[in-house]
Amino acid sequence: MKTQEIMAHLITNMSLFSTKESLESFYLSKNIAQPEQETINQFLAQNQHIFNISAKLLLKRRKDDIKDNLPLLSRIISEESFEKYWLKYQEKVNPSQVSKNPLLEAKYFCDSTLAQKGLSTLIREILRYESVKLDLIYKSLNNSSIDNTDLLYHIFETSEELYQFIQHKQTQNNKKVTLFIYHNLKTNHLTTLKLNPLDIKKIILSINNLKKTKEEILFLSQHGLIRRSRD
Amino acid sequence: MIKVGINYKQRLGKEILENIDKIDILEVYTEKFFSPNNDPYIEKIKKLRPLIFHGLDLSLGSSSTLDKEYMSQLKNVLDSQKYSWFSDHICMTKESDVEVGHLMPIAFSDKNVAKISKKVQQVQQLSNRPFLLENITYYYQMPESDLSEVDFITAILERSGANMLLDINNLWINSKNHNYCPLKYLDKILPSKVIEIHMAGGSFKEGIHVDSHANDITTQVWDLLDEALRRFTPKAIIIERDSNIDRLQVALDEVKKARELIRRHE
Repeated sequence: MKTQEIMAHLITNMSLFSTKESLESFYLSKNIAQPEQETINQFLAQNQHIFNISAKLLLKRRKDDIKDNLPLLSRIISEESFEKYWLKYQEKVNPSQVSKNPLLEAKYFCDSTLAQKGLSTLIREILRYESVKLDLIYKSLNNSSIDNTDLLYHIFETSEELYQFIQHKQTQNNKKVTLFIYHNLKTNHLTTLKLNPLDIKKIILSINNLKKTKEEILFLSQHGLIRRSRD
Repeated sequence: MIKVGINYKQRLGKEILENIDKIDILEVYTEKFFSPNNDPYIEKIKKLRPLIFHGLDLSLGSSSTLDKEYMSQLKNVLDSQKYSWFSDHICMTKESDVEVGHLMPIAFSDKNVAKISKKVQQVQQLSNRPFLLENITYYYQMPESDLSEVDFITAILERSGANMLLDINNLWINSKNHNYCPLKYLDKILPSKVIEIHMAGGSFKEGIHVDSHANDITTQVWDLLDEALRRFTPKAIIIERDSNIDRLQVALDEVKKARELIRRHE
Protein backbone atom coordinates (compact mmCIF):
# COMPACT_ATOMS: atom_id res chain seq x y z
CA MET A 1 0.00 0.00 0.00
CA LYS A 2 1.36 3.41 -1.03
CA THR A 3 1.57 6.51 1.18
CA GLN A 4 -1.44 8.23 -0.40
CA GLU A 5 -3.71 5.28 0.27
CA ILE A 6 -2.46 4.97 3.84
CA MET A 7 -3.19 8.67 4.38
CA ALA A 8 -6.72 8.20 3.01
CA HIS A 9 -7.31 5.38 5.51
CA LEU A 10 -5.97 7.45 8.40
CA ILE A 11 -7.88 10.67 7.68
CA THR A 12 -11.17 8.77 7.51
CA ASN A 13 -10.54 6.74 10.65
CA MET A 14 -8.95 8.60 13.55
CA SER A 15 -8.81 5.52 15.74
CA LEU A 16 -6.10 4.07 13.48
CA PHE A 17 -3.57 6.66 14.60
CA SER A 18 -4.91 7.56 18.05
CA THR A 19 -2.19 5.49 19.76
CA LYS A 20 1.15 4.07 18.72
CA GLU A 21 -0.24 0.56 19.23
CA SER A 22 -3.27 1.12 17.01
CA LEU A 23 -1.05 2.54 14.25
CA GLU A 24 1.30 -0.43 14.46
CA SER A 25 -1.63 -2.80 14.39
CA PHE A 26 -2.92 -1.02 11.25
CA TYR A 27 0.51 -1.33 9.58
CA LEU A 28 0.53 -5.02 10.41
CA SER A 29 -3.03 -5.68 9.21
CA LYS A 30 -2.37 -3.98 5.87
CA ASN A 31 1.10 -5.38 5.45
CA ILE A 32 2.60 -1.92 5.04
CA ALA A 33 6.25 -1.85 4.00
CA GLN A 34 8.94 -0.32 6.22
CA PRO A 35 9.70 2.75 4.02
CA GLU A 36 6.00 3.76 3.96
CA GLN A 37 5.77 3.22 7.72
CA GLU A 38 8.72 5.52 8.21
CA THR A 39 7.20 8.18 5.95
CA ILE A 40 3.93 8.11 7.87
CA ASN A 41 5.64 8.07 11.27
CA GLN A 42 7.73 11.06 10.30
CA PHE A 43 4.64 12.88 8.98
CA LEU A 44 2.69 12.25 12.18
CA ALA A 45 5.62 13.27 14.36
CA GLN A 46 5.53 16.66 12.67
CA ASN A 47 1.81 17.04 11.92
CA GLN A 48 -0.12 14.90 14.42
CA HIS A 49 -1.98 17.87 15.92
CA ILE A 50 -3.15 19.39 12.63
CA PHE A 51 -3.89 15.99 11.12
CA ASN A 52 -6.02 15.21 14.17
CA ILE A 53 -7.94 18.44 13.75
CA SER A 54 -8.44 17.72 10.03
CA ALA A 55 -9.78 14.26 10.78
CA LYS A 56 -12.11 15.72 13.44
CA LEU A 57 -13.39 18.36 11.02
CA LEU A 58 -14.00 15.70 8.42
CA LEU A 59 -15.88 13.59 10.94
CA LYS A 60 -17.96 16.57 12.02
CA ARG A 61 -18.77 17.42 8.40
CA ARG A 62 -19.92 13.83 7.87
CA LYS A 63 -22.13 14.05 10.94
CA ASP A 64 -23.58 17.42 9.85
CA ASP A 65 -24.24 16.07 6.35
CA ILE A 66 -26.07 13.11 7.84
CA LYS A 67 -28.11 15.40 10.07
CA ASP A 68 -29.00 17.58 7.08
CA ASN A 69 -30.35 14.50 5.36
CA LEU A 70 -32.42 13.52 8.42
CA PRO A 71 -34.48 16.67 8.94
CA LEU A 72 -37.19 14.98 10.95
CA LEU A 73 -34.97 12.97 13.31
CA SER A 74 -32.60 15.85 13.94
CA ARG A 75 -35.46 18.10 14.93
CA ILE A 76 -37.28 15.58 17.09
CA ILE A 77 -34.33 14.45 19.20
CA SER A 78 -31.89 16.59 21.16
CA GLU A 79 -28.31 17.26 20.09
CA GLU A 80 -27.14 15.03 22.98
CA SER A 81 -29.32 12.12 21.86
CA PHE A 82 -28.14 12.45 18.29
CA GLU A 83 -24.56 12.47 19.54
CA LYS A 84 -25.19 9.19 21.43
CA TYR A 85 -26.55 7.49 18.32
CA TRP A 86 -23.67 8.91 16.29
CA LEU A 87 -21.06 7.57 18.72
CA LYS A 88 -22.64 4.10 18.70
CA TYR A 89 -22.74 4.22 14.92
CA GLN A 90 -19.04 5.16 14.87
CA GLU A 91 -18.22 2.12 16.98
CA LYS A 92 -19.97 -0.19 14.54
CA VAL A 93 -18.88 1.03 11.12
CA ASN A 94 -15.61 0.82 9.27
CA PRO A 95 -15.28 4.42 8.04
CA SER A 96 -13.18 3.45 5.03
CA GLN A 97 -15.94 1.21 3.74
CA VAL A 98 -18.90 3.52 4.27
CA SER A 99 -20.16 5.53 1.32
CA LYS A 100 -19.41 9.20 1.84
CA ASN A 101 -22.38 10.16 -0.28
CA PRO A 102 -24.30 11.96 2.52
CA LEU A 103 -27.59 10.58 1.33
CA LEU A 104 -26.42 6.98 1.33
CA GLU A 105 -24.54 7.34 4.59
CA ALA A 106 -27.61 8.89 6.23
CA LYS A 107 -29.63 5.83 5.19
CA TYR A 108 -26.88 3.56 6.44
CA PHE A 109 -26.88 5.48 9.73
CA CYS A 110 -30.66 4.95 10.09
CA ASP A 111 -30.43 1.24 9.33
CA SER A 112 -27.50 0.79 11.67
CA THR A 113 -29.21 2.75 14.46
CA LEU A 114 -32.39 0.71 14.01
CA ALA A 115 -30.37 -2.34 15.01
CA GLN A 116 -29.63 -0.74 18.38
CA LYS A 117 -31.57 -2.01 21.38
CA GLY A 118 -33.79 0.10 23.58
CA LEU A 119 -35.12 2.54 21.00
CA SER A 120 -38.53 4.02 21.67
CA THR A 121 -41.31 3.20 19.23
CA LEU A 122 -41.39 6.80 18.09
CA ILE A 123 -37.66 6.95 17.31
CA ARG A 124 -37.81 3.55 15.64
CA GLU A 125 -40.63 4.69 13.37
CA ILE A 126 -38.94 7.96 12.53
CA LEU A 127 -35.73 6.12 11.66
CA ARG A 128 -37.66 3.73 9.45
CA TYR A 129 -39.47 6.61 7.81
CA GLU A 130 -36.22 8.49 7.16
CA SER A 131 -34.56 5.35 5.82
CA VAL A 132 -37.37 4.59 3.37
CA LYS A 133 -37.50 8.25 2.35
CA LEU A 134 -33.74 8.37 1.64
CA ASP A 135 -34.00 5.17 -0.33
CA LEU A 136 -36.72 6.76 -2.44
CA ILE A 137 -34.70 9.91 -3.01
CA TYR A 138 -31.67 7.88 -4.04
CA LYS A 139 -33.74 5.79 -6.42
CA SER A 140 -35.40 8.85 -7.86
CA LEU A 141 -32.05 10.47 -8.51
CA ASN A 142 -30.95 7.40 -10.39
CA ASN A 143 -34.13 6.74 -12.31
CA SER A 144 -35.03 8.81 -15.32
CA SER A 145 -38.71 7.96 -15.08
CA ILE A 146 -39.07 9.71 -11.75
CA ASP A 147 -39.48 13.44 -11.40
CA ASN A 148 -37.12 14.09 -8.51
CA THR A 149 -37.99 17.76 -8.08
CA ASP A 150 -41.55 16.83 -7.38
CA LEU A 151 -40.40 14.19 -4.94
CA LEU A 152 -37.98 16.48 -3.12
CA TYR A 153 -40.69 19.09 -2.82
CA HIS A 154 -43.05 16.55 -1.29
CA ILE A 155 -40.39 15.34 1.08
CA PHE A 156 -39.72 18.85 2.32
CA GLU A 157 -43.42 19.41 2.81
CA THR A 158 -43.98 16.04 4.38
CA SER A 159 -41.12 16.31 6.82
CA GLU A 160 -42.43 19.67 7.97
CA GLU A 161 -45.95 18.26 8.34
CA LEU A 162 -44.65 15.29 10.22
CA TYR A 163 -42.64 17.43 12.55
CA GLN A 164 -45.66 19.53 13.41
CA PHE A 165 -47.79 16.45 13.81
CA ILE A 166 -45.33 14.66 16.06
CA GLN A 167 -44.81 17.72 18.21
CA HIS A 168 -48.55 17.84 18.66
CA LYS A 169 -49.12 14.14 19.18
CA GLN A 170 -45.98 13.19 21.04
CA THR A 171 -47.86 12.50 24.24
CA GLN A 172 -50.48 10.44 22.46
CA ASN A 173 -50.40 6.94 21.09
CA ASN A 174 -47.22 6.35 19.11
CA LYS A 175 -49.02 3.97 16.82
CA LYS A 176 -50.98 6.87 15.40
CA VAL A 177 -47.71 8.51 14.50
CA THR A 178 -46.72 5.34 12.68
CA LEU A 179 -49.95 5.34 10.74
CA PHE A 180 -49.56 8.97 9.85
CA ILE A 181 -46.04 8.40 8.60
CA TYR A 182 -47.12 5.59 6.32
CA HIS A 183 -50.14 7.56 5.24
CA ASN A 184 -47.75 10.31 4.18
CA LEU A 185 -45.55 7.87 2.35
CA LYS A 186 -48.55 6.63 0.49
CA THR A 187 -50.12 9.95 -0.37
CA ASN A 188 -47.00 11.95 -1.04
CA HIS A 189 -44.36 9.51 -2.13
CA LEU A 190 -45.66 6.24 -3.39
CA THR A 191 -48.08 7.78 -5.83
CA THR A 192 -45.52 10.30 -7.05
CA LEU A 193 -42.81 7.74 -7.43
CA LYS A 194 -44.52 4.78 -8.99
CA LEU A 195 -42.44 2.69 -6.63
CA ASN A 196 -41.00 -0.68 -7.27
CA PRO A 197 -43.51 -3.27 -5.98
CA LEU A 198 -40.85 -4.62 -3.63
CA ASP A 199 -40.55 -1.27 -1.89
CA ILE A 200 -44.28 -1.06 -1.47
CA LYS A 201 -44.28 -4.59 -0.14
CA LYS A 202 -41.56 -3.68 2.36
CA ILE A 203 -43.61 -0.79 3.67
CA ILE A 204 -46.83 -2.76 3.74
CA LEU A 205 -45.15 -5.61 5.57
CA SER A 206 -43.84 -3.31 8.23
CA ILE A 207 -47.34 -1.93 8.68
CA ASN A 208 -48.79 -5.41 8.81
CA ASN A 209 -46.36 -6.35 11.55
CA LEU A 210 -47.83 -3.75 13.85
CA LYS A 211 -50.76 -4.62 16.02
CA LYS A 212 -53.71 -2.54 14.91
CA THR A 213 -57.10 -1.66 16.23
CA LYS A 214 -60.19 -2.13 14.04
CA GLU A 215 -60.30 1.60 13.52
CA GLU A 216 -56.70 1.64 12.32
CA ILE A 217 -57.29 -1.28 9.98
CA LEU A 218 -60.19 0.63 8.48
CA PHE A 219 -58.02 3.74 8.11
CA LEU A 220 -55.23 1.78 6.40
CA SER A 221 -57.54 -0.07 4.07
CA GLN A 222 -59.32 3.16 3.13
CA HIS A 223 -55.97 4.57 2.08
CA GLY A 224 -55.10 1.44 0.18
CA LEU A 225 -52.22 0.57 2.48
CA ILE A 226 -53.53 -2.85 3.46
CA ARG A 227 -56.17 -5.20 2.16
CA ARG A 228 -59.02 -5.87 4.51
CA SER A 229 -59.24 -9.51 5.37
CA ARG A 230 -62.54 -11.22 4.60
CA ASP A 231 -64.75 -11.19 7.66
CA MET B 1 -17.12 42.63 -18.66
CA ILE B 2 -16.58 40.35 -15.69
CA LYS B 3 -19.74 38.42 -14.96
CA VAL B 4 -20.78 37.95 -11.32
CA GLY B 5 -22.93 35.06 -10.16
CA ILE B 6 -23.59 32.47 -7.51
CA ASN B 7 -23.50 28.69 -7.10
CA TYR B 8 -26.85 26.97 -7.51
CA LYS B 9 -28.76 25.39 -4.65
CA GLN B 10 -31.94 23.52 -5.44
CA ARG B 11 -33.70 24.65 -2.28
CA LEU B 12 -33.26 28.26 -3.40
CA GLY B 13 -34.08 27.52 -7.05
CA LYS B 14 -37.37 29.43 -7.07
CA GLU B 15 -35.79 32.45 -5.38
CA ILE B 16 -32.84 32.38 -7.78
CA LEU B 17 -35.21 32.37 -10.75
CA GLU B 18 -37.19 35.27 -9.29
CA ASN B 19 -33.96 37.24 -8.84
CA ILE B 20 -32.31 36.22 -12.08
CA ASP B 21 -31.87 39.86 -13.12
CA LYS B 22 -29.45 40.27 -10.20
CA ILE B 23 -26.93 37.70 -11.41
CA ASP B 24 -25.03 37.38 -14.70
CA ILE B 25 -24.04 33.72 -14.56
CA LEU B 26 -24.83 30.58 -12.56
CA GLU B 27 -22.48 27.82 -11.45
CA VAL B 28 -23.99 24.34 -11.07
CA TYR B 29 -22.41 21.16 -9.73
CA THR B 30 -21.64 19.00 -12.77
CA GLU B 31 -22.80 15.86 -10.95
CA LYS B 32 -26.29 17.36 -10.69
CA PHE B 33 -26.71 16.49 -14.36
CA PHE B 34 -25.39 12.95 -14.04
CA SER B 35 -28.89 11.71 -13.32
CA PRO B 36 -31.77 12.91 -15.45
CA ASN B 37 -32.51 16.42 -14.31
CA ASN B 38 -36.05 17.53 -13.84
CA ASP B 39 -35.33 20.67 -11.89
CA PRO B 40 -37.78 23.13 -13.46
CA TYR B 41 -35.87 26.15 -12.15
CA ILE B 42 -32.60 25.13 -13.78
CA GLU B 43 -34.45 24.47 -17.02
CA LYS B 44 -35.80 28.03 -16.97
CA ILE B 45 -32.62 29.65 -15.67
CA LYS B 46 -30.43 28.14 -18.38
CA LYS B 47 -32.53 29.92 -21.01
CA LEU B 48 -31.93 33.22 -19.25
CA ARG B 49 -28.33 33.06 -18.02
CA PRO B 50 -25.16 31.16 -19.01
CA LEU B 51 -24.27 28.14 -16.91
CA ILE B 52 -20.84 26.94 -15.85
CA PHE B 53 -20.21 23.46 -14.45
CA HIS B 54 -18.20 22.76 -11.34
CA GLY B 55 -17.30 19.13 -10.56
CA LEU B 56 -16.57 17.66 -7.15
CA ASP B 57 -15.69 14.07 -7.75
CA LEU B 58 -13.33 13.69 -10.70
CA SER B 59 -10.56 12.90 -8.20
CA LEU B 60 -7.66 13.80 -10.46
CA GLY B 61 -5.19 13.03 -7.68
CA SER B 62 -6.14 9.36 -7.18
CA SER B 63 -3.36 6.89 -7.96
CA SER B 64 -5.57 4.98 -10.37
CA THR B 65 -6.58 6.08 -13.84
CA LEU B 66 -9.68 8.23 -14.27
CA ASP B 67 -12.92 6.50 -13.30
CA LYS B 68 -14.46 5.26 -16.57
CA GLU B 69 -18.04 5.52 -15.36
CA TYR B 70 -17.51 9.06 -14.10
CA MET B 71 -15.86 10.06 -17.37
CA SER B 72 -18.72 8.59 -19.35
CA GLN B 73 -21.28 10.50 -17.28
CA LEU B 74 -19.21 13.67 -17.58
CA LYS B 75 -19.06 13.29 -21.35
CA ASN B 76 -22.83 12.87 -21.52
CA VAL B 77 -23.31 16.10 -19.60
CA LEU B 78 -20.76 18.00 -21.68
CA ASP B 79 -22.32 16.73 -24.90
CA SER B 80 -25.91 17.43 -23.96
CA GLN B 81 -25.79 20.75 -22.07
CA LYS B 82 -24.88 24.31 -22.93
CA TYR B 83 -22.15 25.78 -20.74
CA SER B 84 -19.31 28.26 -20.97
CA TRP B 85 -16.63 26.15 -19.26
CA PHE B 86 -16.28 23.36 -16.69
CA SER B 87 -14.01 22.81 -13.74
CA ASP B 88 -12.89 20.51 -10.93
CA HIS B 89 -10.31 20.50 -8.14
CA ILE B 90 -6.65 19.56 -7.81
CA CYS B 91 -7.20 16.90 -5.17
CA MET B 92 -8.43 13.37 -4.59
CA THR B 93 -11.79 12.30 -3.22
CA LYS B 94 -11.11 8.58 -3.31
CA GLU B 95 -8.10 6.32 -3.23
CA SER B 96 -8.30 2.60 -4.01
CA ASP B 97 -11.31 1.38 -2.01
CA VAL B 98 -11.34 4.36 0.38
CA GLU B 99 -13.91 7.08 -0.18
CA VAL B 100 -12.52 10.11 1.58
CA GLY B 101 -15.71 12.16 1.43
CA HIS B 102 -14.00 15.49 0.97
CA LEU B 103 -11.39 17.19 -1.19
CA MET B 104 -8.16 15.69 0.12
CA PRO B 105 -4.81 17.23 -0.77
CA ILE B 106 -2.17 15.26 -2.65
CA ALA B 107 1.60 15.50 -2.48
CA PHE B 108 2.94 18.59 -4.25
CA SER B 109 5.47 16.64 -6.31
CA ASP B 110 6.85 16.48 -9.86
CA LYS B 111 5.49 12.97 -10.08
CA ASN B 112 1.96 14.22 -9.39
CA VAL B 113 2.40 17.12 -11.84
CA ALA B 114 3.03 14.57 -14.60
CA LYS B 115 0.25 12.24 -13.49
CA ILE B 116 -2.41 14.93 -13.11
CA SER B 117 -1.44 16.77 -16.31
CA LYS B 118 -1.94 13.57 -18.27
CA LYS B 119 -5.38 13.07 -16.74
CA VAL B 120 -6.32 16.70 -17.36
CA GLN B 121 -5.47 16.27 -21.03
CA GLN B 122 -7.80 13.26 -21.16
CA VAL B 123 -10.58 15.35 -19.60
CA GLN B 124 -9.94 18.18 -22.07
CA GLN B 125 -10.55 15.76 -24.92
CA LEU B 126 -14.17 15.45 -23.82
CA SER B 127 -15.04 19.01 -24.77
CA ASN B 128 -13.84 21.99 -26.78
CA ARG B 129 -14.80 24.29 -23.90
CA PRO B 130 -12.12 25.38 -21.39
CA PHE B 131 -11.42 23.11 -18.43
CA LEU B 132 -10.44 24.88 -15.20
CA LEU B 133 -8.61 23.59 -12.14
CA GLU B 134 -9.31 24.95 -8.67
CA ASN B 135 -6.89 25.36 -5.78
CA ILE B 136 -8.26 23.66 -2.63
CA THR B 137 -7.86 24.31 1.07
CA TYR B 138 -5.36 22.02 2.78
CA TYR B 139 -4.60 21.94 6.48
CA TYR B 140 -1.49 19.75 6.30
CA GLN B 141 1.02 19.18 3.55
CA MET B 142 1.01 15.61 2.31
CA PRO B 143 4.18 13.55 2.78
CA GLU B 144 6.44 13.19 -0.28
CA SER B 145 5.82 16.83 -1.31
CA ASP B 146 8.84 18.45 -2.93
CA LEU B 147 7.25 21.58 -4.45
CA SER B 148 5.44 24.58 -3.03
CA GLU B 149 1.67 24.69 -3.59
CA VAL B 150 1.86 27.48 -6.17
CA ASP B 151 4.74 25.90 -8.08
CA PHE B 152 2.81 22.64 -8.15
CA ILE B 153 -0.36 24.27 -9.49
CA THR B 154 1.36 26.47 -12.07
CA ALA B 155 3.36 23.48 -13.33
CA ILE B 156 0.13 21.52 -13.89
CA LEU B 157 -1.52 24.48 -15.63
CA GLU B 158 1.47 24.94 -17.90
CA ARG B 159 1.98 21.28 -18.71
CA SER B 160 -1.69 20.37 -19.23
CA GLY B 161 -2.84 23.59 -20.89
CA ALA B 162 -5.73 23.88 -18.42
CA ASN B 163 -6.95 27.21 -17.05
CA MET B 164 -7.45 28.19 -13.44
CA LEU B 165 -10.40 28.64 -11.15
CA LEU B 166 -8.76 30.71 -8.44
CA ASP B 167 -10.48 30.37 -5.08
CA ILE B 168 -9.53 33.50 -3.17
CA ASN B 169 -10.86 32.25 0.16
CA ASN B 170 -8.88 29.00 -0.16
CA LEU B 171 -5.77 31.00 -1.00
CA TRP B 172 -6.26 33.30 2.00
CA ILE B 173 -6.91 30.35 4.37
CA ASN B 174 -3.88 28.42 3.12
CA SER B 175 -1.67 31.49 3.39
CA LYS B 176 -2.71 31.92 7.03
CA ASN B 177 -2.49 28.25 8.00
CA HIS B 178 0.84 27.71 6.23
CA ASN B 179 2.26 31.15 6.82
CA TYR B 180 3.04 32.35 3.30
CA CYS B 181 2.40 35.57 1.39
CA PRO B 182 -0.73 35.30 -0.81
CA LEU B 183 0.43 38.18 -2.98
CA LYS B 184 3.59 36.32 -3.97
CA TYR B 185 1.34 33.37 -4.84
CA LEU B 186 -0.79 35.62 -7.09
CA ASP B 187 2.33 37.00 -8.75
CA LYS B 188 3.38 33.53 -9.85
CA ILE B 189 0.18 32.78 -11.76
CA LEU B 190 0.10 33.61 -15.44
CA PRO B 191 -2.73 36.19 -15.74
CA SER B 192 -4.21 34.66 -18.89
CA LYS B 193 -4.81 31.40 -17.01
CA VAL B 194 -7.35 32.80 -14.53
CA ILE B 195 -10.80 32.41 -16.08
CA GLU B 196 -12.91 32.24 -12.94
CA ILE B 197 -12.67 33.34 -9.32
CA HIS B 198 -14.48 31.84 -6.32
CA MET B 199 -15.32 33.91 -3.29
CA ALA B 200 -16.56 32.42 -0.01
CA GLY B 201 -16.56 32.88 3.74
CA GLY B 202 -14.62 30.66 6.12
CA SER B 203 -14.39 30.27 9.86
CA PHE B 204 -11.82 29.80 12.60
CA LYS B 205 -12.02 26.48 14.47
CA GLU B 206 -9.64 24.66 16.80
CA GLY B 207 -6.87 27.11 16.06
CA ILE B 208 -7.02 26.89 12.26
CA HIS B 209 -8.78 28.78 9.49
CA VAL B 210 -11.38 26.55 7.83
CA ASP B 211 -13.12 26.72 4.48
CA SER B 212 -16.78 26.43 5.49
CA HIS B 213 -18.79 28.25 2.80
CA ALA B 214 -21.12 29.07 5.67
CA ASN B 215 -20.28 32.65 6.60
CA ASP B 216 -20.06 36.10 5.11
CA ILE B 217 -16.92 36.83 3.10
CA THR B 218 -14.40 38.51 5.39
CA THR B 219 -12.76 41.88 4.78
CA GLN B 220 -9.38 40.19 4.33
CA VAL B 221 -10.76 38.00 1.54
CA TRP B 222 -12.37 41.01 -0.17
CA ASP B 223 -9.00 42.78 0.07
CA LEU B 224 -7.31 39.80 -1.53
CA LEU B 225 -9.87 39.85 -4.36
CA ASP B 226 -8.95 43.49 -4.84
CA GLU B 227 -5.31 42.41 -5.22
CA ALA B 228 -6.29 39.62 -7.62
CA LEU B 229 -8.25 42.05 -9.79
CA ARG B 230 -5.14 44.23 -10.09
CA ARG B 231 -3.44 41.25 -11.73
CA PHE B 232 -6.19 39.28 -13.51
CA THR B 233 -9.29 39.90 -15.59
CA PRO B 234 -11.36 36.76 -15.07
CA LYS B 235 -14.50 36.08 -17.07
CA ALA B 236 -16.56 35.44 -13.94
CA ILE B 237 -16.62 35.74 -10.17
CA ILE B 238 -18.82 33.26 -8.31
CA ILE B 239 -20.03 33.81 -4.75
CA GLU B 240 -20.14 30.39 -3.08
CA ARG B 241 -22.42 29.88 -0.12
CA ASP B 242 -23.48 26.33 0.72
CA SER B 243 -24.89 26.45 4.22
CA ASN B 244 -26.19 28.87 6.80
CA ILE B 245 -28.18 30.54 4.03
CA ASP B 246 -31.92 30.78 4.48
CA ARG B 247 -32.36 33.72 2.14
CA LEU B 248 -30.79 34.28 -1.22
CA GLN B 249 -30.35 37.94 -0.36
CA VAL B 250 -27.26 37.04 1.71
CA ALA B 251 -25.47 35.90 -1.47
CA LEU B 252 -26.98 38.67 -3.60
CA ASP B 253 -25.55 41.32 -1.26
CA GLU B 254 -22.12 39.82 -1.87
CA VAL B 255 -22.71 39.77 -5.63
CA LYS B 256 -23.40 43.49 -5.38
CA LYS B 257 -20.23 44.03 -3.37
CA ALA B 258 -18.15 42.12 -5.94
CA ARG B 259 -19.58 44.29 -8.72
CA GLU B 260 -18.62 47.45 -6.83
CA LEU B 261 -15.09 46.15 -6.47
CA ILE B 262 -14.88 45.26 -10.17
CA ARG B 263 -16.04 48.77 -11.09
CA ARG B 264 -13.06 50.23 -9.23
CA HIS B 265 -10.74 48.30 -11.53
CA GLU B 266 -12.40 49.29 -14.80
